[in-house]
Amino acid sequence: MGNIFEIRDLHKIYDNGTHAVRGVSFDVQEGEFVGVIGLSGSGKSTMLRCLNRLVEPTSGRILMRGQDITHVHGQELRDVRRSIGMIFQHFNLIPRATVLRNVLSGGLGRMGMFASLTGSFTPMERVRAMECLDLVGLADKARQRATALSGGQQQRVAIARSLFQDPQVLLADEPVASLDPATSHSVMQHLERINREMGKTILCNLHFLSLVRQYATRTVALKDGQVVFTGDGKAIDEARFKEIYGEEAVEVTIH
Amino acid sequence: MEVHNERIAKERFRARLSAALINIVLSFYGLWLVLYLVTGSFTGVGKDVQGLFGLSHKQTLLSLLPLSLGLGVLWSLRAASPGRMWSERTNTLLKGLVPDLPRPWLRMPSAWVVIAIGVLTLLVSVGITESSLRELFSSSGMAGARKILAALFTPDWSVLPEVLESMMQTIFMAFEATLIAVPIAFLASFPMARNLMAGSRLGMAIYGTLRTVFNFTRSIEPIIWAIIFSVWVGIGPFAGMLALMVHSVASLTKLYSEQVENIDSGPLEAMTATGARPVQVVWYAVVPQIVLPYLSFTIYRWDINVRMATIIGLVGGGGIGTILMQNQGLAKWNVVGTCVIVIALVVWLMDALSARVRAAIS
Repeated sequence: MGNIFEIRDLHKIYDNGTHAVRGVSFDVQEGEFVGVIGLSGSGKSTMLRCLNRLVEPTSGRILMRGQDITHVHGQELRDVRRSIGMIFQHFNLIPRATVLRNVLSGGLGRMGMFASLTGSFTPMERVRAMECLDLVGLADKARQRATALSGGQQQRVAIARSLFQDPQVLLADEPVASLDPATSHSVMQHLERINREMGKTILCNLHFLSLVRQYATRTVALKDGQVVFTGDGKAIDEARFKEIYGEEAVEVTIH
Repeated sequence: MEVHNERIAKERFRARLSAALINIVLSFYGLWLVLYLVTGSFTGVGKDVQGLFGLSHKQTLLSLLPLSLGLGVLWSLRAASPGRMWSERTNTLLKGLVPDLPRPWLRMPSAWVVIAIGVLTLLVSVGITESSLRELFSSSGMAGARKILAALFTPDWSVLPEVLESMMQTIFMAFEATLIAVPIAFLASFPMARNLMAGSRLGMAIYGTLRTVFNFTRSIEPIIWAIIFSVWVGIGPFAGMLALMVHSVASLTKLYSEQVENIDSGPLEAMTATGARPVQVVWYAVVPQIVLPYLSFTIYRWDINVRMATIIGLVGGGGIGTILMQNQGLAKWNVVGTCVIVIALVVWLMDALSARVRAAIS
């Protein structure tokens, strides 16, 4: 299996001077489920957003399947983004639009301009979108307003949207941070299935070490914008844990 | 880390420059106010205006320039000076780095100077407007006011059909102006939203250009546009409509684009991440978030346009304002009274109606 991402000495300094990512380097292999842990403000989110260039890296290189995507722009950048799905902490669904339309919007990258502006999705696309909704168990909600659903359901709509996008790799930024424990596991299990059964590579930011140990095949820990650990999440003992989260930290688990 | 320090040093330098500039301008303004209070003139226009210390007014004014330059620079040495307060403590990068003041700002000498300049401004403005309570309550003045008010409250109802006819003209003028302005403002509002354009240098250039053009257009009051258009296309409702339309476009784009700047950026991020083109991102992530506020602003704008249309009529924009102006010129105060009552009724009705509709859709 080759590497899907090679991240080399990545830096990000925001306009207000915050140095969020300080020389991060690691590889992501095809088919992995990488869990990224670290405190809030450790640079997880910024690092993830550099990969699909929602955030422009200040320096360093990102290779995707050997292609340098650090400086691509225009159509080339849109093609890169099309092959990278993304799931967000706050779901980021389109307000006022139906669940189905939200799922269909995942395909905007490959749609013609006119068809997308008039909302003329082909019957094929609609069938595929319904299949994606069915995979997350929400086919019966297709006609409802997406933002009227519960948090867990909204996140599953977001997952269906990125399935419809049909990416090679899925980025998930704190996908369960605004959900309760039971719903969190349901969402994580959907991600696990996408990884195991559909073979999509997943890079997932998480707060809880217990979730990372349970679902991720490999763990990367960030602290102050730097990588402080890579390897099996189960190898993180109490000393390592305090190194990542600070001396004061006590591990809590989510069941 | 080096990049960071370099940025801070650069920002410090810029803050110092802008602080000095603000302090110099404020010093000059303060001294100029004193000059006005002593001589009774800003520019030395008018006969018998003398300067200070045996100089002519012009010479005094010119000597204020180096004086305020020196004072401003000296003032900039103090951390509480308004220039430094502004450029150091509102800058996101420097805010955390400057030490706290020894006392609350209002108890620093620099603050007293700023307050003194404010008091001087008030004194000068009272002098300029020739404000006088004696004239407001003089007996001859009160008699005139009584005469006009009495006529206004005994309207001449025989001219009602004529007045209603021109009122309808005014309402439709406002309607047409709003209807033409809305699509133009809709399209212009997206390139004028900072959050959508900040991605590229070209985007910021377009944003800056449009912003300047529309700010300039908006700063010209509709009544002045009406004067321009009444020369261009002739006096009448068409000129009035054009004036309202131009001003509506300018102010609607501002309201609309501010709405775009306030949207939740989440859906925007999500759509961008799917590889959608910018226009698709706007259509899918921005438009659903702004339709209702846009509708509300549009109705509000029509309401404003009806009021403005009457004012615009005063300078030849047609409609009820023109009738009002003609009869005021002829001192037919009873007809003016009829017009005022009809205008008040329509404005009240529009106000209530638009408030209801806006409450219903928000």
